Amino acid sequence: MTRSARVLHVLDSLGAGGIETTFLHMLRACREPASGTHADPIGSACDRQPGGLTHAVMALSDGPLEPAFREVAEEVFICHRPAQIDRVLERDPVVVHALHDRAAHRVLPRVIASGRASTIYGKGYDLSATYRMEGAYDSAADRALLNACDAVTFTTAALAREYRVPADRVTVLGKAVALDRFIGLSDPDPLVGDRLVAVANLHPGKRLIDLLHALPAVRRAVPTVSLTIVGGDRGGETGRLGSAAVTLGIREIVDFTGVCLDVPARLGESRIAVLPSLREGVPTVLLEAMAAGRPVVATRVGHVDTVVEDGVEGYLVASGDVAALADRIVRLLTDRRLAARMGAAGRRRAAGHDVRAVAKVWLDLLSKSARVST
Amino acid sequence: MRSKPRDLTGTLALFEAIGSDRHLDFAEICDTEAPLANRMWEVYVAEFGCLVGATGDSAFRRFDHPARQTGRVVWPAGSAVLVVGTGPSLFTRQDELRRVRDRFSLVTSLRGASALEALGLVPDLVLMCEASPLDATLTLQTARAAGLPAVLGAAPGPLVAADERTPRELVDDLPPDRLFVPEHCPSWGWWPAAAVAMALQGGSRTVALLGVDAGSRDGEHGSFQPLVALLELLAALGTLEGVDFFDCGVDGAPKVGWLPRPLGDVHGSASPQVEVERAARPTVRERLADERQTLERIKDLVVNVRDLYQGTAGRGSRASEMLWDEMLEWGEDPWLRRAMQERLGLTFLPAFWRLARSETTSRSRARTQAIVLALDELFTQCDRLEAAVAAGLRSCRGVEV
Repeated sequence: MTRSARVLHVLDSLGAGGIETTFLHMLRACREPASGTHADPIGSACDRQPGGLTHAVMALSDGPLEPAFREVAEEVFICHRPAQIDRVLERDPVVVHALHDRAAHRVLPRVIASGRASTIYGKGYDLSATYRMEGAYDSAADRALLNACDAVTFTTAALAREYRVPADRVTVLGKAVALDRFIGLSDPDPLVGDRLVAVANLHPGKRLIDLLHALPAVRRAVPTVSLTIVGGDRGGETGRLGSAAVTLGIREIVDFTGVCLDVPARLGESRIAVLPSLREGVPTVLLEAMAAGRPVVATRVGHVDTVVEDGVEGYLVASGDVAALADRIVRLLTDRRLAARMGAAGRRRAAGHDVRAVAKVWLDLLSKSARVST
Repeated sequence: MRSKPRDLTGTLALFEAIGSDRHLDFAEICDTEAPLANRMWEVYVAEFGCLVGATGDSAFRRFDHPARQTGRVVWPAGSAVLVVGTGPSLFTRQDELRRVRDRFSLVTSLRGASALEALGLVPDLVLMCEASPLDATLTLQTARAAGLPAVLGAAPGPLVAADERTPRELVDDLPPDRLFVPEHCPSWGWWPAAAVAMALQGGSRTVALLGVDAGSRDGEHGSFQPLVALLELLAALGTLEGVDFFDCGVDGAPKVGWLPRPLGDVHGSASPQVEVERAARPTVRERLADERQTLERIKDLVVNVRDLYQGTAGRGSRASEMLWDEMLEWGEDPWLRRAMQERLGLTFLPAFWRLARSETTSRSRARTQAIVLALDELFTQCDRLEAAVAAGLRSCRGVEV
């Protein structure tokens, strides 16, 4: 029997962020045979791996996704100290794949200098990519690392264009969504009321404060409106938003769930997903909402417009434009046929981001890198 | 007039030097008489892998920093310094903090200043120092989204010690008499450690913590482990000189060397007035001239290496081995090491200097990739520094700054 090749995936944390969650679904797509109406591209892709691949995950801090990762990866290591990282690297992975800028910079130079494994830098919408897009910070070190790795994956073609890595080392994966969790959600129940949902880590940059400021105007037009804010908070933002809601007189219609791993249930209870961020890449939650048939109202920032066309799957407004935000939400809450039409368009658009298809491309790359390394 | 140096001065200087990556190995400091030098080095190795990387200024923010003064904070004898973070105990102990606020000199971060402002409290000193240029950008973008605490510009307001790499936008509107660049800011990438070290340097005999997160109560420190190790180390250093250390966030993770104690039971002198011993910061013109000198010295080496690099193409592993050895030798020169780490803000060469040579494989493909990695960053940063210095000199030509 052929010995399996070990791939080591390195993440900053196992927190419930977009990159971590998408990666978890990619691993899961590799593990689980497809069922229902979907074809089985991943199962057959796995079967084609010479000797197969085993997946180990090394995270530099823990988080609520840890149990889920332990279900889908052969090994999970939480490494806080340099010596712990070294011990994991000494287990001779053939490919080391880093998914965040910080993780990449901490681990990949050591792997490169040792020459013991192929290196892949998975460039998603991490901090350095987001700030580079905005012209706020351009890291020479990040550029150098992208140039030195054996392969680079970008989440979108739009992001790949931001960097000038030689094309022969670039793979564009596409933004992945675990559609199964969302496509089964029924259309909003007329009895659930006019609930909005915002799914985001609670951070000032998500500008949830703008959504709160829009809510009184929405309430004047739609008195039954309410809002669920889903996301973890490490900086006291819940308190600030809660105080603002009190000041605005809307505290009784705003719920904070904190970290919530059952996002489909929260989307299922809502009519519209809203994301008023100051900055984004391509937010997973918008594609999840679209897969669930919910129209979206988001800000025209980052590469959001690569997945949402204004007036088709929902609306895009300028970041900070509270009046426009309120207006578009009211339009969708008061015109059910319009909302249904945009929801259906969203489902069609999201179908092109099936995690299974993305995972197939990803596995092909890992397999190729493993062959080169061995 | 400068106050008399404390007994801890030499020890804290070593603490700062190690945390600023000024040494490559323990042999460079093993003859020091500073107590606990061994322990400092052990923390450096175990928690930071011999490279903290917190002193690099790859974005050259030092050129834009508006402070006209440097300074060293001094606390009057008998005063107690309370280092305030934004962890859960700040909020659970807020009423107690309001009651005893006048017993302490409050030191916090920018985020801490916002949290205190929401509680109706004004700190005495706000410390701005970031672990990396990326973190500084994150702080800047967060401030743009949430706004700066109004208390920074209010009168009376806190003193602001802003590290040289602080983004200008964060400090541009502050009253000039309250803003300074701290002469010593030994953070090791963790601002609470810098605050505690500054309290020791400044003569405080009682240092307490509130809301300084260090993991869970069951002793799992997780990613806070480096901070926990630093706090333990600083407590050990201060205890040698009779300083008392208290952890007033008594529901949080335990910190070795810090006695858990309710805030109300920690006593300091009434209304301690923090002071700053100031010195003029070099003018922009003087700083640019200094940068140009540094750059010229580095550029000689870089030109040589560019030639070598271009010459390695197609010449096999021997040529790349020579190039690799040359770059590793730079690490032997303390001046060059510091200039490349701090002024150019390089990350990869400093890492390679610290990897044992046996770890940097003899495989030529790996060596080639490592060379690409190190030189790409070096060349880019050299070009950027040259452009930044030239632009700076152009903009201050004819203007006294």
